[in-house]
Amino acid sequence: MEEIFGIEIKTLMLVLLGVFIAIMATIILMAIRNPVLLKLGLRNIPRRPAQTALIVIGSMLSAVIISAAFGTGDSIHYSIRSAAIEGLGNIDEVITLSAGSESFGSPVPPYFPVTRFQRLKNEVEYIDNIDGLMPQILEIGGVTNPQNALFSGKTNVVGISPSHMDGFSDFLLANQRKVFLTDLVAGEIFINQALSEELDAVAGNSLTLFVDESPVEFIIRATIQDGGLAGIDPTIVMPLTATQLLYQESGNINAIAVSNRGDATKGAEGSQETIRELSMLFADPIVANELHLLLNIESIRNVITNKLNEKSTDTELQKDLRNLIDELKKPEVSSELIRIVSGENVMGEIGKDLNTLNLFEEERRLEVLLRDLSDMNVDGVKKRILDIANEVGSTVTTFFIVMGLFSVMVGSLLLFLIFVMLAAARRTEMGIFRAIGAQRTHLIQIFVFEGTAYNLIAAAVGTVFGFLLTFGIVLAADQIFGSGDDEFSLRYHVELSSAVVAYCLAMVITFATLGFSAYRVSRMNIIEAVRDLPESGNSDESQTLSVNLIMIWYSLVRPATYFYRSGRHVINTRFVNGFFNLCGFLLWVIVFPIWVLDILLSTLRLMWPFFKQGWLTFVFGTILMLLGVLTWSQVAPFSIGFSLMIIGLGLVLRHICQYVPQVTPIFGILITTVGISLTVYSINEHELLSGVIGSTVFLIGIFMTWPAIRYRANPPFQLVDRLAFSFIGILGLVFWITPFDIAEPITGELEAEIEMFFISGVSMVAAAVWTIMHNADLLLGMVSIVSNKIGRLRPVILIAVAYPLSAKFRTGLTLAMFSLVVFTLVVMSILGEAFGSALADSDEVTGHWDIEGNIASTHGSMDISHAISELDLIAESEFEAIGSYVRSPVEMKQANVENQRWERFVLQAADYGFLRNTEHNVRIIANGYGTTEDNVWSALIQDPNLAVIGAAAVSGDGGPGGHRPGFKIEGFSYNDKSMDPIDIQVLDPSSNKEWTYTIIGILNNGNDSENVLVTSKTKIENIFGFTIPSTTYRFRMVDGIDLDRTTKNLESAFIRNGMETVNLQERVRNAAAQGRAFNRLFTAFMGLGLIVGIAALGVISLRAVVERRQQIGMLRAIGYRKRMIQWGFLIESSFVALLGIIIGLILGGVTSYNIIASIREGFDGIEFSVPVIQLSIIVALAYIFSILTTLLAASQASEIAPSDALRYE
Amino acid sequence: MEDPIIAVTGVTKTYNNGKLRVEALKGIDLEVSRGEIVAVMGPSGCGKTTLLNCLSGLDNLDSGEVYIEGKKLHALSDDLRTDYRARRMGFVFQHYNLLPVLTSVENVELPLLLSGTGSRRARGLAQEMLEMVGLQDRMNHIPAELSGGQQQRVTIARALVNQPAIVWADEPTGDLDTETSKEIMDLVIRLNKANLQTFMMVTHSPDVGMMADRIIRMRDGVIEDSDDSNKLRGEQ
Repeated sequence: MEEIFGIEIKTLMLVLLGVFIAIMATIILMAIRNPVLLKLGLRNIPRRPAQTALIVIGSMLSAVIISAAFGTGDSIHYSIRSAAIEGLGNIDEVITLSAGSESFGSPVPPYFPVTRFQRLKNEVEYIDNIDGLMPQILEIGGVTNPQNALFSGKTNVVGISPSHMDGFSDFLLANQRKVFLTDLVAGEIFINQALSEELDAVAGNSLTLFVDESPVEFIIRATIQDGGLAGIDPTIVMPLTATQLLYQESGNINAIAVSNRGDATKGAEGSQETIRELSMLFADPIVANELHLLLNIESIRNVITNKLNEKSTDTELQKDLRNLIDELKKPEVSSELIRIVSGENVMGEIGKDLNTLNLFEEERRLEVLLRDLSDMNVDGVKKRILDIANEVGSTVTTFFIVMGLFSVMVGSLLLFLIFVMLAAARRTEMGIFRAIGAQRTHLIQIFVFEGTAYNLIAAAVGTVFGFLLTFGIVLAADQIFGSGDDEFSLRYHVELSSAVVAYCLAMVITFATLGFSAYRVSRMNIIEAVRDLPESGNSDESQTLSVNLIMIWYSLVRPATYFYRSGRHVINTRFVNGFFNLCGFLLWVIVFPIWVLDILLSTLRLMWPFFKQGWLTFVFGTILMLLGVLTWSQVAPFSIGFSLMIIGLGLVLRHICQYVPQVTPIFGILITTVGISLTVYSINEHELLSGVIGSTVFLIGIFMTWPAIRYRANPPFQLVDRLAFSFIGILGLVFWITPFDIAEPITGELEAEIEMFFISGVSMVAAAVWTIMHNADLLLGMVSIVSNKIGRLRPVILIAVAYPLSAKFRTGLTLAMFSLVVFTLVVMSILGEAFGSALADSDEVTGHWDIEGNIASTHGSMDISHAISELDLIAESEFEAIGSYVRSPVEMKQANVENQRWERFVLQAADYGFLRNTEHNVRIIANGYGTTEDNVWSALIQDPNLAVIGAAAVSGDGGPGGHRPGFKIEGFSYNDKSMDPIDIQVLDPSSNKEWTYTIIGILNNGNDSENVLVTSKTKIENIFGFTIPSTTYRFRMVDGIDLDRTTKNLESAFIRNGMETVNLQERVRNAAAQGRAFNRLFTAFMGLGLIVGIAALGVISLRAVVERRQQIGMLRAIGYRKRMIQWGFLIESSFVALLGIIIGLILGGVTSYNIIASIREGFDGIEFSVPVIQLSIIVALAYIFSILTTLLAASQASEIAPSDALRYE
Repeated sequence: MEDPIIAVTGVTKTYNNGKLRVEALKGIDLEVSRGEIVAVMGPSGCGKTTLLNCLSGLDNLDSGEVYIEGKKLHALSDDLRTDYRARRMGFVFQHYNLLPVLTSVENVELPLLLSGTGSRRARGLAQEMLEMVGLQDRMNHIPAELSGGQQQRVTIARALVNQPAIVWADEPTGDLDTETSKEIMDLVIRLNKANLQTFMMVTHSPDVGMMADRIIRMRDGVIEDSDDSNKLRGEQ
């Protein structure tokens, strides 16, 4: 894999490695300077091996997730790349005729005289980058094996010139022995392994190839290995001259394969250069001259100059633009000029800018000239596939990392929790250490040393485990997706760079957590720590504003200070200290981000009191929100900004209430207002969820207002705090769980990427947990009331619930972890089920067609109905409907819209049978064309100027076309209820013919016509002047027909036409099953976080046994049986686990509902449904394992002897 | 002694951690009458707390016999012994050992709930008990919000709420100042007089010992002597 998040992997690796080395260097320096602190930190590791193991496991998880994500991306990238390299061999580019060909939708490239090849052969002599050119004929035909009646519908037939094998690999038998085309005698062929396997044919067998429906017998001379000129799909290889005779194309070829210098892998690296060189050779000098003149027009030259000066222009483009300007100054057309204008990138950028500046005439002329510049198309096929490999690998890694962020976050929280608990256990000794003169930084260092030791091991082990997990993922994914395509299989592969990135990234994340934990731990009150009193929140850190200001100034000049100190130490011959200070200076200057971070932290320390007061948080949030809406048009900054505004407002009001208690009811009043607003919105919009949320919030608001009014004269500070913090939590939760589009009338449409799932998940879980923990006593009261009815279990339940609710921070953290994991699993499960169900509706997807037959119909059309009536295997009465079409890539743009450029799309020209019988749903019908699907399809039959277009051409809320390249209709949204007919222009790039259509309908999203413009064949046949043969046939069978049998029979019956058939219903079912299986695999990957959540409960329980030893002794003394102690612990864990599960289920359910509601408009057939079994399994696993983890602690607690626990002396 | 509530003969207890062997009790014989307040005194490590733990069934004996209200406590299973403690015994500890996460009233009602009293009745009795110890205005406060003396009052309320036959107290005034100690001991005596409950206290404080009916002095795991404190008070 080469890129991730748009950053080159190598760059990322170097940066992370740099940060890692810098951190380690700092830690080593600290250790050398303070060996005692190092010893104090490290001595804790062997003290409690079980605890150490737990910490290492907790720290490992980030590394496991990250390395698994990178490993999976690497494996996918490698698999596609290997398939491309092995499949294409030395073929790097393929040259075909592009312009002037009179064919439409033919899968076979048009022919051209072999003299073009000979001329090219002479011309490329001087191009170092090319080491082989192969004239070829590429055809497709049906083949049968008469010995066993097996057949292959679409078999490639490749004609190769034996005298031009230079640069290409020889053909090899399975035993690696070379065979040559010159060995073949008339009537003999080679077949590749793929065809051999499909037909069960071996050397010496005869095969029948159908050419124009006529059978031609061949003898197999040998089975050659797949790949290179032999291809990877079923292929027949024969000499070029024999192929020319076979297809009556003497003196013609239809493709030239190009081999770049270097082997199969290296060759692709020079592909860009080869394409440029070849494009230059194919350029028409007259057109090139016209281009020279056009580009010299002042307006266009200005565009080129401005583009050159743009900051965002990359170096490669800048270089070309600079050369272009120089070349345009010359009076004659130079080869360099042709080279530059032949490059799609340079001209594409200039075209875009002309369009932006409304220079439409210049843009159109440029387009026409560029199209006419060359009649040959050079396809860098290998580079294209390798680029796809990189893109897919990068996308998969990004997806896994973003979704894995939940688990990484949960892992970090566990680590934080562990260190907070370690600090609690060592509080007294740390207090004594501080009392005898240790500084806070010393405590930080002790924890950092200890944490680093865990971290170094954990990240390494985690990375290894992650790559082992990758192996499992690749194996499972290959099982899921490999069944449908035998040619492509996923292979396990991990790059060293990924291993380094995963390790360093995990280390950096853990260091950040560690640093924060250590900082928090160090903020203790010495007296409270020494006397082991409860934390009052008053740390011994009390820096004034002026001190903080000095700290900022000090951070600004820190490197200079280090440098000065270094010099002073050297002068005083204290060389070691001088060296350390010099290292500090170099670290701050060379690793510049450390200096920046230093300044930022100092600034934050100064600003923190104002953030805590709320007003600065509010201002900061407002700025972020406005930037999100007005500048960036992004949901993330808007949402985060708005959340900060809520927090800021709550804190400001809390501050005000301390001085003006009478305003305390404001919290409840505001919440009530929000509740009423949401309820009113839900009534107006008929939106159920907002109504439920609104009415609940309304009641909560009333509940909050009542005590505030009652105590308005002098409200206790606990009440103000509770109201303020509940206000923040409830409003935050309401903001994140209300449907996404509620704010759209104000904010407009904002962009959201996949990371919003992570941000919203974390935010809503945090808000929910925050609210619950600040109202823990209410929950306790409720449990107390309920447990009144349970009799003897009451004392157990009472303490089991009271303990977690009293340790708010610890419980809140665990609850957040657990909720977050359950939340992600719930969302994944519900969405997976919804998409799986939607895509499994085969009638919706296929337009209610049962079987599809693709043929290599290159020579004339076929009367399918007549052909079927003559079949023996299938009765005509078994068919309910038959239709056909041909698809061809075209370029399209909207008529009467000035700022549109030609964009790629696919045209589907269908016959009467298809248009009459297809049941593809039309989402929007243009005004004046009826109200039903039938009206639309009838209109298309009657008027060949009409068309309907797939949903991919339409953007809009949840619309499928939003993120896809290609033609888009402007000024129209997929969610619109009606439309006027839309005129579009269509250009066939092969023939340069141009015509228009009127779009009268938009097809539903999620069907197999999503990416095409559907129209009748009539108009195209009129334009081209010949009958256009269909390449795809669709069959709808009467009910009760065995589709599998009919699918095979059809292929067999139409083997002469090279028909390859597929059972569409089975294909849709398989695709849906694959989707579901992958979803489960991914859910399992996300479930890794669950291990952490469960581990957290185990950690807390084990810690609780130690902390509550005396209390357990007392409980045993006053009459708690052993089993009651055990139950107490189990109920306590159950309480946290169940609360987490409930929060996760509710929030996950609401989020899934919102997601489905927001895309339902753009994704027909998708419905919210709860996968009860899958969710039950998740809940059961989460709960059972958390109980199992607690069992050990519960058992330990119950075995504590009361006399031992109560002994003080 | 007629109908002793506690009858102990030949109780021995040895602690052995592999390296060190400590004979904590070396053949204790003792009888305590119903309603008696007994103070166990002696230097640190003499076996006072071990004696208390062994007699109350918190710890096992190596040999000897302990009869509480005529029941051979150590012959009972752990569960039955625990149930017996819940119904018939109360405990007061030096460090109060209240559950920090429960309010005063919840702490006090725990023994009642354990012995099967209904929630409403348990709450009522706990409130009455807290009123009796003078904490009617501190019922819904958690231990961290109470002073040391107040916490010990809650502990006493908890120890007495289920009307136990015996209250075991290990250094009940160890963490308190002199004045509060006296207040607590006055409370203990008042409740003892009102309910006729037996109190067995381990203490270092001579003042507390003086307030008991009898003082048992221990040294090196044996009872050195047992005096009537009235006699001692008279001697003073």
